Amino acid sequence: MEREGLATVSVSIVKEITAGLCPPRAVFVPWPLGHPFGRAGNLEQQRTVLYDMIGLIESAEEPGTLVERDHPW
Amino acid sequence: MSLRRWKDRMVARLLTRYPGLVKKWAGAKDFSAEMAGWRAGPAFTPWTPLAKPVRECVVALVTTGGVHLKTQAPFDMENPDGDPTFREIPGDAARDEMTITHDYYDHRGADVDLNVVFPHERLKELAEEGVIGGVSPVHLSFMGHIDAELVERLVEETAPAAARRLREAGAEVALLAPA
Repeated sequence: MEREGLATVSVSIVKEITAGLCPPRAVFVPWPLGHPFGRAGNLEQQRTVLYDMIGLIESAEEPGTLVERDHPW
Repeated sequence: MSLRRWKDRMVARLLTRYPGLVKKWAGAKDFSAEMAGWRAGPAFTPWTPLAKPVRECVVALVTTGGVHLKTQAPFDMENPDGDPTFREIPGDAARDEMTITHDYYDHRGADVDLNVVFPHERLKELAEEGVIGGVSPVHLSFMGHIDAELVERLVEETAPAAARRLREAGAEVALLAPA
């Protein structure tokens, strides 16, 4: 997608995989598989991750930027 | 349901319940070595700088959560190596038009609230609030279990086609969400 001209940012829920693949930009959240945007019905968690992603895509300056968030589950 | 599909679903539930198992599994695999032509590291990572503020950009979602329209063919759950195809989800698709076909993660939370893996409603709100420039007319969905020779097909064929499709639809930013 980056080669096609799209700027991308990924959620990471397994830090080891993300670190190994080195995507352009990623936000790690310490939540279970199947819940990259948090719990069902928790709109604040969902919005928080989207804001994290938007913030990173506007601030990252080099490929492989991985930021870690410690949002409570 | 076949015994194999039942087993896959049970393993998925265990991995969700016990994150330590996921770390152990992930630590034992070299994912970059399994992707043909992929070299991991910042020097090899493709990069498109953001051309303008996100509040002016058209934004697409890309999920690996097995989301698809009920009218579309479901992802292949019979091939143990998975399914490297993708589905196009209209940007204005309603919740009751979509479903999930994916035996390899526990999506009971997403079945209740699809935004857990595919935050289409939250993205629309961000567009209405002016946080993003707009919602892409097309989102994309993959089914994230892709193994063996299907990885090469994903890298060589499906992923470039998916990227072109998003670009043609006018998307400028893609938010990627593995499930």
